[in-house]
Amino acid sequence: MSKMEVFRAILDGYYSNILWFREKLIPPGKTAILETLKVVGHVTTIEAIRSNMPSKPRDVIVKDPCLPFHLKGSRTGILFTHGFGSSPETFRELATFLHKETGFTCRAVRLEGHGTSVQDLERTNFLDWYKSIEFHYDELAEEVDEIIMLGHSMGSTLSLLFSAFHPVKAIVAISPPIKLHRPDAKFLPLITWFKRYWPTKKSEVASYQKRGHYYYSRRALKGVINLFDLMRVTRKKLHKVKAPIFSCVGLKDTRVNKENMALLELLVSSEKVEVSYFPESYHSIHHGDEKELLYSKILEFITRETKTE
Amino acid sequence: MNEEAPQTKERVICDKCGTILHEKIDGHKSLTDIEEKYVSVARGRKFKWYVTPANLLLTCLFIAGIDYVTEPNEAKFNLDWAVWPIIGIIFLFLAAALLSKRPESFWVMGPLIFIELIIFLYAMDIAYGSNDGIFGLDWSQIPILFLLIFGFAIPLVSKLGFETPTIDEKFDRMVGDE
Repeated sequence: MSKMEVFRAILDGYYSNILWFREKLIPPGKTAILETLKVVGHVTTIEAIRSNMPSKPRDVIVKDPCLPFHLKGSRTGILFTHGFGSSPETFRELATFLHKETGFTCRAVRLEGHGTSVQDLERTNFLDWYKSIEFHYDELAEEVDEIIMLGHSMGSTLSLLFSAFHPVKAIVAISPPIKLHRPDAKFLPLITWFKRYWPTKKSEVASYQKRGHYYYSRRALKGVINLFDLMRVTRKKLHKVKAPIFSCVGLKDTRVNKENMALLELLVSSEKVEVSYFPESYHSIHHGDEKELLYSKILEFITRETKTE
Repeated sequence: MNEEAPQTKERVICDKCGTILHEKIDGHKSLTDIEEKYVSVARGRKFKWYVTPANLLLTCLFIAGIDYVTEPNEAKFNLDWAVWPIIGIIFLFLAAALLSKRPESFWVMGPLIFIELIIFLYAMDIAYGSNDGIFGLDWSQIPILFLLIFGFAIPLVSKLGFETPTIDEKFDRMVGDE
């Protein structure tokens, strides 16, 4: 913890008072009077110190296996969005498959705060994640005419939210959390006062590492709060989604259950909503035993949707 | 068609103003000026945990020593006045240690620290003098009132009443869906 941060925290409580005094005591339009007042030195000094303070030190270097990737192809693009704590590399296999079969341009997004450090993730919120998708969407839109959004878990929720405000050809949502029934989640802001990180299940991290993918060994609880915020906002905005949707969930998934599919169908305005269940799969269907079946279903859906016009 | 294009870009954007600090192309991991700053902050000189308490203890011993060798040595342990600066040093150390651990909690701890300071002043006032003023105070009414209002009440009210947009409102503003 740097000294400047301590100093910033000390100043924070008084800064609003200084601004308030300055606004109330100096008549509007006569702020030049400040220049002549002795107090101006302190006010401007505090403002200058506050605005020039460095941000919290954090590891912002993106780890090697977490960089976004881009497979150049035809004028139709697929934008892949990974899940919470994960990385774009988890889509390498699926993207390569779809790229080979369809020839579409495939691009995988790295969400802000992912692939760096858990401290970096803690500082981000879902607005930053949304901006990450927006950045890659704009880059991809320069190369292609139509874009299909594809996401897993939190990435699929973000894709759905993004599709409410951007033109997309279709949406593929793998295990999308729309509403998680976790009554304990409301205590998370309180828990973050005492505990900032929660260890991820060792088996889960091991399964990612086995596949050569990077995954945080701890979960930033502020990030989890953001995930719940994201779901709440998405539920409010889903009525604006009009693109065709293919959504699927594993029946052995302990996080996202099949009620989410019903909720998704209920809330969106899309005319076509295809829902598929995978009885032998867990949360990461695209890495599970039924991945070939999922790949073929996604391929079928994408081919059908891009051929309709 | 199947070749992998190397033009994947990564942007690092300033948290405050939103300006692009640097762009990274396909895993090129050069440190920017800003990142070097982060590194320089993180590389600050580190001491073992006992250095600061030990130095403060030595300072307290020095103060106590001065009191001990000077007259009149009538109070307990032959100390007349040194107990007050020693308590003050311990109090400041504890406050600084707490703040450096959790600086974001200053808006809770700050007012509490001022309350502690008020108690300290009150105790010092009560310990000496005739104690015939309001609440038995002789000289500390004005500093206590000052700390109570400017150190406790105003920062607390301002912080609690600070209007911050919710994340839903921020999102609506960002996508222009207000």
